[in-house]
Amino acid sequence: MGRSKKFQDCQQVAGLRFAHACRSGGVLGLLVVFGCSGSVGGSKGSQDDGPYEDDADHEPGPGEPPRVDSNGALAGGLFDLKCEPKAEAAPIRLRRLSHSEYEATVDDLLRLNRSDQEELPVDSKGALFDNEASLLRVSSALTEAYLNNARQLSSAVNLANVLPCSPTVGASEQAGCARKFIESFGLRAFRRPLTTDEVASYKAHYDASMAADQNFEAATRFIVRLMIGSPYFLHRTEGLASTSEGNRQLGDYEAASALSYFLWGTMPDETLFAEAEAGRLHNAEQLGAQAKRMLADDKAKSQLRHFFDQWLHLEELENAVKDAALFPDFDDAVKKSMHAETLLFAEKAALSGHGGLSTLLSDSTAHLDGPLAKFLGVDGSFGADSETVELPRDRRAGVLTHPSFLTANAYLDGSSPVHRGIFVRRSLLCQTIPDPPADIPFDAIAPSEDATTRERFFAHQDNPSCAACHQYIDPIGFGLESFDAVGRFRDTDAGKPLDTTGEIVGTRATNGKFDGAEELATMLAKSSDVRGCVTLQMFRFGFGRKETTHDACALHSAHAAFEEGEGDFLALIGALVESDVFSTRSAKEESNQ
Amino acid sequence: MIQLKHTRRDFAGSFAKGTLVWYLARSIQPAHAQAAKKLKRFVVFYCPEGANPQNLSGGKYTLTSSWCPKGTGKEHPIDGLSPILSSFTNIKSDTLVVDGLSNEGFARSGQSGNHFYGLGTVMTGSRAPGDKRDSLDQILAPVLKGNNNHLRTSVHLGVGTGGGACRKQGQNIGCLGNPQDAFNRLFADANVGAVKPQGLGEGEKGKRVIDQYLSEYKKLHEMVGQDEQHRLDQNVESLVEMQKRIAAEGNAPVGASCDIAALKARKSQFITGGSYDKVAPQMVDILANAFACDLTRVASLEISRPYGASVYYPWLGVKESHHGLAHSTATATRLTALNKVYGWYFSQVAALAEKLKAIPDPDGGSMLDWTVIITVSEFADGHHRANYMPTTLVGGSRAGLRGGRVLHFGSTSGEGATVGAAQPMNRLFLNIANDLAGMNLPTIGEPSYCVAGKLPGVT
Repeated sequence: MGRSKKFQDCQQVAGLRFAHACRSGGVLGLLVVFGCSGSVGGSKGSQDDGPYEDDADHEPGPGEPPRVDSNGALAGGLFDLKCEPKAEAAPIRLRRLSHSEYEATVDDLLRLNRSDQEELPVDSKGALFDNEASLLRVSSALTEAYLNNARQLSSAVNLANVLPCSPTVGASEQAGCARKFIESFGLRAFRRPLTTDEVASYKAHYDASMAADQNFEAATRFIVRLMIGSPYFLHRTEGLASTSEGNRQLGDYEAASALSYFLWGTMPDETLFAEAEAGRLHNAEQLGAQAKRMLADDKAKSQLRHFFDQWLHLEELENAVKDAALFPDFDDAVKKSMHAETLLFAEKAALSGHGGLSTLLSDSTAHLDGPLAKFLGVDGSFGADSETVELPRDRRAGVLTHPSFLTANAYLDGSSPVHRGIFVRRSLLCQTIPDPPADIPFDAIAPSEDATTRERFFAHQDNPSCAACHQYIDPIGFGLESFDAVGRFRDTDAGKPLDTTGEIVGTRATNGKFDGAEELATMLAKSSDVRGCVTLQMFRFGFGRKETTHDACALHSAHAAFEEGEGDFLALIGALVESDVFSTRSAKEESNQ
Repeated sequence: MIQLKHTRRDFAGSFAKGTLVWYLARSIQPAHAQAAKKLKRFVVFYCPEGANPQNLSGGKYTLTSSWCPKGTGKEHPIDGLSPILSSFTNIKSDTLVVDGLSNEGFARSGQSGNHFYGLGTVMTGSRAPGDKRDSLDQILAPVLKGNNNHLRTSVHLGVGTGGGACRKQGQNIGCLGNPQDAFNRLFADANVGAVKPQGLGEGEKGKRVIDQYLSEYKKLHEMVGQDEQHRLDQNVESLVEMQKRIAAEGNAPVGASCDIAALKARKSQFITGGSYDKVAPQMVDILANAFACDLTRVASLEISRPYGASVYYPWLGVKESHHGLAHSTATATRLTALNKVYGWYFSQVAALAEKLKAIPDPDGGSMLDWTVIITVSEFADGHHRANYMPTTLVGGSRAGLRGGRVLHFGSTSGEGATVGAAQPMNRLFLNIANDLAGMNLPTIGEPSYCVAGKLPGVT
């Protein structure tokens, strides 16, 4: 996966640890298996610097029991953050564009449609999303790719689309046009007006080119090349010139970028630039109005898909391998259809406004194309484009019953209540489960012909140490046992009738028993814990960083808006944009982790 | 390490004072350039989940003979090959198995559940990934490059996300994860009969571009906080590398064994998706060619990723996920399957070594004789153990490495022995940097792991 062949690294180490008894007991170290599914929104341990020391104080280490509060709820999630207003706002930041932001921004800036860009080397990815500012750096290989792209794209761009005059303008008007171009293209490239010095610097480059060969087109292309490899293009900057003490408001141009990269994953459009120039992007009302406009744009759809792709771990699907003997018809075409279905479904759910999260988690609408319909055994006429159909509620109840999710969270040859349960814990409830101890004897849950998956996994419940963590995980996954390793419905396992009963325990307000996917989906769809967690996930995605106590009040306000709309994603995004943490920064120089 | 850090600090300071020219002039002549007469190339090979399986029984870990060849005494020849090294037949005499080393930072971290923690400390020898140290390959890179400014300082290739053992300031160096892209990047001009780095070829214009960027970074540097300045230093360092390559353009010698015709024939023939068994051999081939054409002196080939819960090896007939398998060696069947998996990884090391062995080196012998390949993983074995890392060195005979041997540095050794105390890998890093590459570093990584100095008997 990873933009450049996106990988979903599981940056995060596997979840649970189950405690000591597993060391000597013969019970399956299943837990260790699912850690990968915890990468977004999970707890501790990213692959890079930072989180280790920070988290050491408040998260249990390997082999320690999971942390629970006095009501028995696992730690983590929005409600652990108390709204206690603090003076310090988020620090100044310099953020390199993520690969997907870079790719989209180049296209928008140059007005190219999916330009031919050199693949960028794989980025570090942490426990959050691919735009986690503190992890995005520039290596030699990336520098080379940027330089190559700058050279190649400056040749590929149609100058008529970016120059303020005709590319064949007469000699007498060339210098004037070049200056205007430097200012107008520079503003779009750097997402702010150029300083006088910068204009002069680029004009000097133009003049030098012209002096060398009198080639107006080549001279302007060279300006394009300089600008799209510039640090000011490659990085979003905030508050560089600020010398004030205490908190400061984002400048209007900074706010334009903050909006566009959150909502669109790319640079601001003409309207945002115009609003910034007019000084109309510095209060909640103005920002909210722009957010509303932007969410109606197609660019918001692709950005929402980018969010869902990561939050729901759909990128992991690309790596999914299945036993060809058991699933001979599982191929790349089917995987692609599965992936496309969920992205379309999620995008529609999010854009539906009121009740969007409930739709996402419990709706029975399917979007099936020919290959997927055939794979799932759904009768009817399906072609290359997907058709919208309603499936029976026992076969389809929200995204947890999508073949994409179920396939990505399963074994080579069987379903995995652990993978599926841990996803719910970490990504839907934002709960923290400690890492496994080092020395788990990972005795396989040897697949058995006469035991169901549930029966085999039930060994966890018999071993108190294993159960310490697995009590929170497996019983959720059991609810999805009607779906096999490739997300197909089944009503037996190992020749026996299925038992899909389960229970959610260890939450603030979502505890209860259920039978089957539909009831599980309904519980999650109504859960304020889940809405709180989605609030956090959207914040992390939108702000490119982990929340801090400073953000707590804003997060609770955003959550309230999300609740009021019964999971209205548009309301949630709007509330985050209108919050003070969106537009306020600290002037204090501070390490950002 | 210390010296490099020093350089970087000087650089940051000098930058702020606007003495960039001073830095550039200084960095053209690295302090160790004159000493780099021995080791010429260095390769890090990464595989996930530890490749030295240990047995756990009754709460005790014991060593297996999966990776380490059998023998008696603290030092013995490689007589029979172990299952994991079974493909090393033709490079047996080039292989030094260094048994009984530890990923010390990981061992002491209290983060034993965390694969990424182990990955962050293994090649940096650091106390924690957050120490922000450079990995050994990055410490060696400027020295092995010397004054050959046309070279890339290092090349990093990955298969299936590509590990992350090689680090700058503690952070994963991004690798090229797609064979076609890697080929294009390295051999872009093979189609016109010249092999030279892509992205250059515009001489004066290229210089102006980089000068402009550097001047902008300089301004930006002055306006951000210290933490962000460190990040920008990496951008600047890589631009300076490009600047040197551009300056050397036109005079860049092509490796004597560079087979242009073969490269031209390979153009656009790469599989860019697919399972590891399809992709990895292509990366091995690209890497061998990169050395043959002398495009770089330091590289990594990192296959797969830590924590392979969804990594499977159907082409080996192994059905369990890598992670699941690695966590239990309780039965002979499982251990055999795991040996098969690591045997496949190490067959890629053997393939690379054999290719380098077939390429004559301009200074005599084969390229392998002047190259050291080191095998690493985040752990020693799949139970997240930090002691008895699967450290195999291949090549380097003309640099002084004595192959065909097994050295045991653990307090115990041999199949069935209880896993004992081990020596920090930092000590071996000192052998490599100081004895093989001619550096003179008092410590590498966390200084306290280096107090016992380099290991005896390596050279």
